[in-house]
Amino acid sequence: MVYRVAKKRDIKPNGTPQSDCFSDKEADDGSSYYMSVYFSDEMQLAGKSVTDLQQEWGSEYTVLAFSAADLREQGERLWRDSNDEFPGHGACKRADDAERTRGQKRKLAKIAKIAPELP
Amino acid sequence: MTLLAESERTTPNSTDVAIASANGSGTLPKQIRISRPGPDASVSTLLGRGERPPAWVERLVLEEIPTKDDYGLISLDTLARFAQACSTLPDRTPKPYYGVGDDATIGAEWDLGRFHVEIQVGNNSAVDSIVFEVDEGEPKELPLEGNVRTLAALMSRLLRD
Repeated sequence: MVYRVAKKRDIKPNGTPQSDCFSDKEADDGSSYYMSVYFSDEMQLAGKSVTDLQQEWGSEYTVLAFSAADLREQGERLWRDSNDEFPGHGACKRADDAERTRGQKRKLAKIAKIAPELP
Repeated sequence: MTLLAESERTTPNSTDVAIASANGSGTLPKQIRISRPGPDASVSTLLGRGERPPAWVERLVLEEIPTKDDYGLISLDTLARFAQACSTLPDRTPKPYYGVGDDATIGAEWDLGRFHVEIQVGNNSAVDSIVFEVDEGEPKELPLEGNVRTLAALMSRLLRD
């Protein structure tokens, strides 16, 4: 699984995330159009759970789950990009490096589910 | 429906976020004025005589969206274009779900029974768009620029059903 952390305020009452959840700021190194994700396999190797990920970000955040295959099917490219903050960090962006359109964000919103492991 | 927009320079240190003119009679043009500190332009959105935007637009634009702009990314021009698009909607349009993307975009979404409508306005106006979907099917996307009237007509049609 691949996880995306999102603000709870951007989740609609029916559990569907708003399309605004699927972008990140330009990075300090100038890279853009990507968004941070977390890979479940590396999290598990480090003994971390989805609940740990949510707690790392804080109570105003929740965690959305995708399969890597679903993301690729939507035209996303995934890669690992570990950092010191939490295990399993990675990123994804459009396979053609283009800026994600609103329609593409909407498609991600439709396949994203709040991680079932969360209470 | 006639929609006019004007952009004008404002004093660099202005701190006002104010509605310069608003009246509830529906007989005079309504103006939403947004200004921020710094070099951004102050933009007024003017509606034609007798036209009223949905009641939620002013508060959404002037208060609620800035509250969600965690990184202060949204430019004044972006906010004004968003206000302009929303101001063309029928006044009975429900308040949307709204958000600010970390890619400096403002989004608004409406779930209207079988239909789903979204708009996005961003600092990069090339990604300004309308998304329309029926029965959870494939989202149809078109540029917002040049289609603001289409958005208003679409919403009017959906709200009539």
